[in-house]
Amino acid sequence: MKLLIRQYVASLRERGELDAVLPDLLCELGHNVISRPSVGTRQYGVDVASVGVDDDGERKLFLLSVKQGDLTRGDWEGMPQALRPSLDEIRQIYLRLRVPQEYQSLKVVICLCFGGDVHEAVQDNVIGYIEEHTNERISFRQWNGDVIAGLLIKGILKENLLAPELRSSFQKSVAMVDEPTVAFEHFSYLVRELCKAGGGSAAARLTTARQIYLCLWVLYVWARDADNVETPYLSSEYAILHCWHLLRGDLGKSSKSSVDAGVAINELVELNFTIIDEFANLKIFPHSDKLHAISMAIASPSPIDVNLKMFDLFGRLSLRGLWRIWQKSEGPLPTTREDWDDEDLHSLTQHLVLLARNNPTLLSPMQDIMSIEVTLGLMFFTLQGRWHPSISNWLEALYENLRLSYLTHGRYPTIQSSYRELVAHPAETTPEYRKEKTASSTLVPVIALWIHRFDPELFSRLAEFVATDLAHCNFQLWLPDEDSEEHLYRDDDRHGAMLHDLPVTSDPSSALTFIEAECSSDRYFSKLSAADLEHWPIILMACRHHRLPVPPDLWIGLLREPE
Amino acid sequence: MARKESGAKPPSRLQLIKEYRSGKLLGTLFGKHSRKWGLEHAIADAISDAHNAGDIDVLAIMSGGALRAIDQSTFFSGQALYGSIIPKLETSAEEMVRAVTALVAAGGDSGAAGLPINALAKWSERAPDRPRVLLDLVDAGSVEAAEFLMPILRTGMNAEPAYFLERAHAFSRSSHKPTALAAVRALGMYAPADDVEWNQLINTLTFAGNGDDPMIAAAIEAAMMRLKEGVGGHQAAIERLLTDILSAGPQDLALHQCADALWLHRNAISPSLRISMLNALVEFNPAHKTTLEHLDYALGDLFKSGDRDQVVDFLERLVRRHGRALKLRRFRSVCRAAHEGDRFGLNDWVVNWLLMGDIGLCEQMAKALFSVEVEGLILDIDFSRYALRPRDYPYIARKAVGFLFLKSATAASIVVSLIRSASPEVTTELEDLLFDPLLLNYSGVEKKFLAGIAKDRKDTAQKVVKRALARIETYRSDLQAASPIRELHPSEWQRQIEWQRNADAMAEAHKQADKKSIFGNLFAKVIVLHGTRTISYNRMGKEEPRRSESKMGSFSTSFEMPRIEVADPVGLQRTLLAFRGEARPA
Repeated sequence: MKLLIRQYVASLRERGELDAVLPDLLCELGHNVISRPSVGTRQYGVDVASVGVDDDGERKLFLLSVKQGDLTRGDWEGMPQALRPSLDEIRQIYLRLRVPQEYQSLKVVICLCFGGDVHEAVQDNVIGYIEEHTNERISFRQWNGDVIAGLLIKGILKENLLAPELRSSFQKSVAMVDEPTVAFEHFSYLVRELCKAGGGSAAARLTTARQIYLCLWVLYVWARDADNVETPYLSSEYAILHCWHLLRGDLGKSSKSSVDAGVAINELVELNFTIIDEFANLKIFPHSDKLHAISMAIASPSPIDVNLKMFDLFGRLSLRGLWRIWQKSEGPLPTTREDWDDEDLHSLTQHLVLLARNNPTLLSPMQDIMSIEVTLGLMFFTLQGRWHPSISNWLEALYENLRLSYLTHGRYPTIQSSYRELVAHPAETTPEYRKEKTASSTLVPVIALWIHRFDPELFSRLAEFVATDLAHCNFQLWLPDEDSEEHLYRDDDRHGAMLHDLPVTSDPSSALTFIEAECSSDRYFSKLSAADLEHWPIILMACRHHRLPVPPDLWIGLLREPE
Repeated sequence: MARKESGAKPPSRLQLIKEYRSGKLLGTLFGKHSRKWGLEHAIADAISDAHNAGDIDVLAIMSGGALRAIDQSTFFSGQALYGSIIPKLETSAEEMVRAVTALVAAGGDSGAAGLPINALAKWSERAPDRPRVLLDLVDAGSVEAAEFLMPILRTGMNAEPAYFLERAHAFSRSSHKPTALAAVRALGMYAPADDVEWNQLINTLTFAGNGDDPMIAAAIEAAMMRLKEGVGGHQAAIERLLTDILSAGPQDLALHQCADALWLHRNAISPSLRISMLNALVEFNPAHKTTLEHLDYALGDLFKSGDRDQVVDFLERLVRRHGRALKLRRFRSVCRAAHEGDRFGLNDWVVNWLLMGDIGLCEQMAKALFSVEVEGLILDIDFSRYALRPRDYPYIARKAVGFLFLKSATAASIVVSLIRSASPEVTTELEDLLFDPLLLNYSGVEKKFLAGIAKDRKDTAQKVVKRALARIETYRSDLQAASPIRELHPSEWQRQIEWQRNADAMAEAHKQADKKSIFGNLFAKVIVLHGTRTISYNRMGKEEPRRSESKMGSFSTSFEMPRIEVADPVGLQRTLLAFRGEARPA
């Protein structure tokens, strides 16, 4: 186990990674973390500061200066961000100017943190520096990868993760990162078991969240080295949703435990961002403007594989964009702005448009439940006024391809969910088969409602198609019910209600009015903790992850023409 | 060994008598060497002599029950032998009719019934009184003899023209259809001696031409026989008769007769009559395989003789009339003639239909002219021959791509041909089509066809082709730069399911192909489990088994799946449908 953690620590990169787990480690060691890492603010050599009891029983101020990997001569001095100048800054500036008043009387432990080892060539320099500057008030510690790994096991993982069964799941998930289905199965088991064991006190719940966070980091780092971060992405969503369920009662208050719970959730979400951002920036966006490049990189001879993976990717990136919008917005529900004044958001949106343009399978969902990804994409674009013209183009292509594939018995969206059935779809080209596989739909009403909002002329064609060819199809939307709060995040039981018989007719407003009437009663949506605490992307994430159509409460407001 | 040799040699007269007496003669005459015996006059004479001398009776032994016991594998050999000996037999008309009836009945629906009937006709011709004796049997109510009315009348008209012509014309107006039909057919085989007889014939055929479908067919058959044999000054009357019949909307049998006539008597048919026949044949029922086959033979000959436009025009009308009920690819002779003749025949046909752009026509043409047998066919079409407008060039290219997409090399060759004579204003559009969807989907097009053009400085399409190839190279580089993205790969489990589904589909296709295999039905199948050669021992009769060793070869075929079928199947379908459905620019 220690080898696993040791390797993980050695692979961490400085900014946002090693220093991201250290505060949790210190918290779990009983420290009070008074300064966390932040980007852009000069810290005078200190990445993390905490107050805690040292091995000798005395309360001291711990100042951590963090470097990635092994400590080489260049890392020690001579390079920007080298360790020695940082240590000098701590002694000469931080200790003089930045230590809060209440801690100024405490002795100081300056910890030299690095994920790997000290190179022999620089060992004497480090020892010499420590001997020279150690005094009554200041002492030094070398926290190399081995020490940090030991502290992580002792401080965070504790006895829970040392239990053979959980340890085995964790190790298997790490070992199988190249087979994501299997690896995720093991990791999700680990998350469930940790949550089950850690549900007692607020502190225990927090510890559980931190344990999951650390495990997720370990998994991510190993997966990154194996060039396949699929498992950590799935696991991060799973972890966020389970930890939300675990901590939801602790959130939204002013107590320290509530703040800590918020920090824990935030850390998990940030790690999710790290995973998806790095994956997208490294592997997707450089090729989003190349025709078929991403579709072909799926490396499958089956069109359904390409369709499934591309829509999944589209959904993940849309969700990432929605999180970004959420971070910049206020209020319980998403609202449209002409421009969010966010370059990264603009870039992400542009890449999504390029993805759809160059991977045209994104214009032809082959499974009805892809209504989730379509809704996420439509929400994302609708929230950005400047991108509205793209919505019309996408909707028109979605409609045309839906109609064509349906009329020609091609790969029209089917309600089948089993992969075995999907790869063979359509197994028959008879009207009876087609009728059976399109008996209901959550996709068509979503497309229809958005078309009504953005392309009224197209809506009349769609309504005609629906009346002529989809008269047998029951249009439905999913709504949360009284059980949803308990099961939405963990998907441990069935919940929610289907609003069926939606009227997609030539009267364009009938469906909208119908849905608005149902949503306005707001029986259960606002009672969802994620809605109540204004964390609507958590609901979207739960819907995406657990394959539930996105409830209209989240998007119906976007479909009304602005006053 | 001994039995085999005695079977190969014709039996002596003594042996015939011996076998007749022992009741084995029928078996001998229906042996596997009987067909060969029938071709040798001496053998047939020997048998008939023995019969005529009263030593044996080759007809008496031929009862329905005895014939049914004959092995089917040798039955038709025996029937052929009887075909040679029947005309030489001395026997009563009743006995001959009985025996031939039995022989015809035993042949079932094999289509070989004509042989014994011809033999009966020859028997009838051998003595001038025989036709009348046979007709007397018919008059006396013999149902069996009535079945042979046509040969009886035909031979009778040669023996006693006046009597039999009168009887035949009378029969042709009989309310008993088989009798009337036999009479009309028989009349068609008789060459009228003078104008009176001609007028009688034309009157009778006109009467028949106003009858039901079988009567009309018989009238056409009879009229065509006369045209073929030569009608002297009566040609116009016969053609007018036929034209009238054809313009009245003939039905299945009559149309079949037309197809037969076009095929078998092409030289006897004037251009105007041919037009009438083709006009009528547009209405033929495509479900009638034999009619279609005969029509195909006729059209194939017409195409070869240079009347291509008439053939293509007729096929166009046929497809437009019947839609998908008609499979143009079943006109194999026409398609073969188009491929075997000079390139203009095929090229003109293809360009003409692509230019019209009709979905039904082009779909049928793609299947018929560019089947698996001509996979990879490269067309070199000189489009400057067709006086096209610049906007027609990309239009034809889109049609070619739309309908011949699966025949990528052929489609590419049409686009390249267009590039060669296109004006600069449309070459970019043609280059785009060469790139997308052809090169995007099929790398084989590049290797097998375009690479050569790109190297050929004399080829006027070289520059455009090189540009298209450069674009596909960039495309491929882009794909390689992005791959692999391991996060996006399907799971091992999913791969296995897809692999299994593919394997099942291939196995099913193999099974279906095996069922349809000609060889599969001819030979016993042996599954060879290991090795590269087979050794077997064959025993021929009582000879020592002979060792035979065969080295096994391998046979394989490959096909290229369109790449975009994976990345964007619906989009690809939409593009191709748009190309197919596009109307010719005004």
